[in-house]
Amino acid sequence: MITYVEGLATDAMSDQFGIVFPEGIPGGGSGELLRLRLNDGFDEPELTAAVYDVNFEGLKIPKTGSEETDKQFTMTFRMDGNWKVYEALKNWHGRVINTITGALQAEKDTRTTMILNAYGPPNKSIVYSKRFNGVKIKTFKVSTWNYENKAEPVKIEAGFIFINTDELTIAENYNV
Amino acid sequence: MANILDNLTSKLEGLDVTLQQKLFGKKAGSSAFEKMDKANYIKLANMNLQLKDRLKFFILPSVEAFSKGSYNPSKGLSPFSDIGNVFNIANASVGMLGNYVTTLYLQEITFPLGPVIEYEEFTKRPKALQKPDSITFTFLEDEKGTVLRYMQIWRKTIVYVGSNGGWTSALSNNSEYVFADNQEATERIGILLLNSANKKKFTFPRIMFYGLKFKDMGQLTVGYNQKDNLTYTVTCSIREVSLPII
Repeated sequence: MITYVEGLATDAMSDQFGIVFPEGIPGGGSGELLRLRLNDGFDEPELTAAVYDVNFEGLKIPKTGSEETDKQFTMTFRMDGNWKVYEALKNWHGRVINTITGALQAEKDTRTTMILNAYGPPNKSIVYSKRFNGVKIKTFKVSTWNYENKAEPVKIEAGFIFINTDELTIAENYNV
Repeated sequence: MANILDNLTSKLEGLDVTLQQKLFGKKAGSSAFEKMDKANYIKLANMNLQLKDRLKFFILPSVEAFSKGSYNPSKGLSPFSDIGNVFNIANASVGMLGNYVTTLYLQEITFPLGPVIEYEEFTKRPKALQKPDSITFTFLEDEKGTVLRYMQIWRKTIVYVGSNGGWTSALSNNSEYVFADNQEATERIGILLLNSANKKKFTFPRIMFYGLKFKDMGQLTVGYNQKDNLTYTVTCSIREVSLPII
């Protein structure tokens, strides 16, 4: 048993990941800056199928129906001293809805693509990659200003929606 | 019936254990109904139930739409003139474009599954057939008003409402109107298909709607507190709902 466990490949580590915006982000902001200033991590949405019950003589048979995945996720970014992160996300959100005029830009001008990469051996290569299609910013909030936060950077919490995901790579040559 | 089943159950339970095992091939003490229930439970669990959101709806112009002798208002001709050889472009082309509307914008359909048989009160003999009357659609709408334009064009092929400004108004109360000569050409044929769960085959019977004609678009509410997207509830008259047995 011990030999078997020792023979297992290394575990996938939850901090070995990165997000990329290959098409940039709407509004002209820097997707690379968002990648570098991502704070706390990324919580993937749960894939869900709708469930309905068929009852039969006192028993319940659950069955699955259509897609019911909550297609949204949240990411938190550390604000830079030049407020470029704020500018990038604010411009994007401003395209989704202009809070002064109420104008909404066209769907194609407010959505982009985001890729989640998971790294592993050797040499921190990309082992797993998932693409989120049609990502659009939904919520946007600067963290609370507080005189007591002596060593706390300002953070921006942004909520996003997306259309669907693609699996770009699968770890085929990885010994498990 | 209940007494018969009770008798059968009690007799089965009273049988010799060995005989029970021989008859039903199971452990002593379990009844035939338990085995039946288990079998039905497994069948239900493995059964692929038809989902309601797997619909595809096609709408086609009726054969008469391609016939001659129909009035075409786009030609600017009087409805009272003899135009027996005019090809009804409006009905045929708009009828074909209907598929773009029904496959992309259609969200929901509500329809009767056939006529209602009315029975006499005491003799319970059938006395009348209440035929299906209408079908209701719910459509999305885009910023170009595609669905609204399609429905208005369809309506105008059925009835022409005159106003002081010409044959364009649909809302004038004090104006004369005339129905198109060839009403059969304004009909559509609707085909409702329900796809299987894996989206690979249509095993559910095809439902046909004959004599589909635009009736009304209901009411529309727009306002500053309306945060969602615009939808229409369109009602169409139907002549026949066809449900093939096989």
